Amino acid sequence: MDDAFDPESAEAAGVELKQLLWVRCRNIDQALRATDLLLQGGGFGLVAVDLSDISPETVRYVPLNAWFRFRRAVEDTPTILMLLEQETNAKTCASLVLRLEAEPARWTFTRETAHTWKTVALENHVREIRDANFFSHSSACLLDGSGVRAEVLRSRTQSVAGAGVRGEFAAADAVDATGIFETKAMWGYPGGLPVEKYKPK
Amino acid sequence: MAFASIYVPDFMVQSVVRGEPPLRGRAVALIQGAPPLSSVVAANEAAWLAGIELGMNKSQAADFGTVEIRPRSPAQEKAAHAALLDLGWSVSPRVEDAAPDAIILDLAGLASIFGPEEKIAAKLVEHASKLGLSANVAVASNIESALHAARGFSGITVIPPGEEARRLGCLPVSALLPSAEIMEILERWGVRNCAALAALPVLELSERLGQEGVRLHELARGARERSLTLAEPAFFFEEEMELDDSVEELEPLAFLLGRLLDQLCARLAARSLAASTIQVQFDLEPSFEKDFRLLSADSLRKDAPKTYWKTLALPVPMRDSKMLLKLLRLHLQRDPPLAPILKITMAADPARPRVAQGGLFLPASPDPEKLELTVARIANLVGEANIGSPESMDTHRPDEFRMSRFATSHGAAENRRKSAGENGRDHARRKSGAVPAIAFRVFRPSVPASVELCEGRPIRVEFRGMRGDVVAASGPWRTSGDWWREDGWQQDEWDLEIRFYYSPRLPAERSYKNGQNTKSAKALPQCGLYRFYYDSVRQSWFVRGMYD
Repeated sequence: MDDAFDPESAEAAGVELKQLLWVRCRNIDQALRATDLLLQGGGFGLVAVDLSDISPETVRYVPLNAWFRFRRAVEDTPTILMLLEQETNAKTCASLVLRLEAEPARWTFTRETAHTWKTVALENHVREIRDANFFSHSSACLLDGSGVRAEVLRSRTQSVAGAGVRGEFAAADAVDATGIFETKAMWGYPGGLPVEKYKPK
Repeated sequence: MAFASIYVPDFMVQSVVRGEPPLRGRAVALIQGAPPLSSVVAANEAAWLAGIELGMNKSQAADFGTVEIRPRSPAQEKAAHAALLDLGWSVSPRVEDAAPDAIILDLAGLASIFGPEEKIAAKLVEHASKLGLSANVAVASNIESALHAARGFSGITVIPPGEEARRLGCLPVSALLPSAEIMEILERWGVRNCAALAALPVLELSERLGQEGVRLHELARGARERSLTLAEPAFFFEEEMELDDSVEELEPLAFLLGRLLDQLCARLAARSLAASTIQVQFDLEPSFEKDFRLLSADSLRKDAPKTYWKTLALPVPMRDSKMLLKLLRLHLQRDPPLAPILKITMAADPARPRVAQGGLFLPASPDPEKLELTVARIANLVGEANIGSPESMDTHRPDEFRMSRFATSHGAAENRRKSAGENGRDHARRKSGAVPAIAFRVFRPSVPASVELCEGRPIRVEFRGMRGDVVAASGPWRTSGDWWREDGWQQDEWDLEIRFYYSPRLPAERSYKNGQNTKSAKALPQCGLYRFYYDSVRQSWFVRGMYD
């Protein structure tokens, strides 16, 4: 939806574009009908529906039986149907509901710039930088990436408390089943330059 | 050595009936010529019995209410003849194109594949029926005997070696196709059938009728030997249908297209082939209103009918006529012809059928035929240009890509093998435990923005009704290209981390400060990572997208 897919970043993330079928929809009706056709056609490993740019009020108007129909279509098939939205709408139709929140960004800059970095305040995961010297070195600074906090809100596949995470995920908190994984910007680092990574505390 | 001959009686009528199956079993007469001079040129057995005669005009023939009158169709005769040849090649590689309504096959070596000659003959009759033709099949030890037996006897005829004279004896002399002059002579002599002709002394016959008489004598005895004149296998599959009344609606058109597809697919199946593309051509009804001119020489000149072309490129060779019809319907719904249709021509490019070999380690993929149907349906919904696989272009221009056709499972498997061999990026990255790349959501089109600068660096931004302070910035990173073209570009990109203090998305009735409800626009700060760029050509700021 809203045609926000970026092939370049997807390819950098390891997506094989030749195996990706992209349907560029103009409204939620097209998106839902295209999803229905893809699920009925079958054979896809993953069908991802991006509704995150649609206002929650609009998505709430989607009748619940649509989500039920989608669930029935993927039941007992190897297809995963993934919905990206601002709030959960599929309700009990969903086997797994994850809440994802962005963590503060990580920046990479030269050692000289790092000495002028100062963190003034930290409130609600928001970092405020007041040191004007930082801006004077913006060309010596690169976005390194950011973290994503994932919280399991509902899961039918396994118990929430015992939700396992592996690979790049940080260990899940056994109490509230959250995990953090880091993402990295696509470009590499300039070779030979002294660099330091800054990560908010 | 044995030869089989396939003969289609009332070939012209059967050609027309092949394109109109409801006419099977009914009395049919064909007329030819421009009205009012059109006359009956062919009819089937039921029409003769009803009283139809050659040379009757259309109105006379129409008086026989039980007889269906149709125009003769050379195009359908051509297609029927091609189908007959396909039938022959489906059984034997050595086929002679003896006549428009008859072919001859060499059956040498086929017993080990298809069984005895009776079984082969039965198979030929059955396959002919699938192609829409009712044929006589005769098997004999020489070509001419087989040909004449097929012409003379209905159904299946198998003549054992040495029995040719006895079996052909009851056939009328006319079955040997003598010249009119010799036919008259033989009639005066009282020679009515092949047995009587074969009983004549050959020496005296040659003195009176010459070499033609000797030839007829050999044919009557079933003793004439000759070699097969092989026909070149043709890989040309085309069917045509001319319509008496123009067709405007998609439903009746789909019905006609289905018939043509059935015939094409049956012919392809007979040759163990499938279609890689289907080309459809419609001859459209000319628009006479535009061409009508009073008292002008132009009014005597008719413009050539317009045509409509549609090519259905298939991802894999197919010969499922129902699937092909569904695909064709979807394409026609998207791009219908602009005028009623007078004639349909359909051709298929032959290819070897798909041989699917599943792999244990290949990912699940949709069936190519079902996928093509699904993609066609979605293309009707969102537009053909909005579905496919994105393909990166060889350029540094931002957000430059093109949509290409989505690969089938076979193609995807090939691509996967290639990418695994040539570029093991995925595999190597996973092995080294690399961190996944940050996702980027593109704004299409780029969103105009207002940016406040301080010493050349963005400090405050506004776009889409949101305002915020820049808390971190990286840039500028200049990117440019295509300067030699009119659409050259030059952009200074910035990665900005923004803290919003006003956003229409923020719930104004909530506040996290001191637990008090406020409806202030600055109720809740929100951060985001965005890519901005200054377009030097348009001299404006834009937001390319956000990091997600």
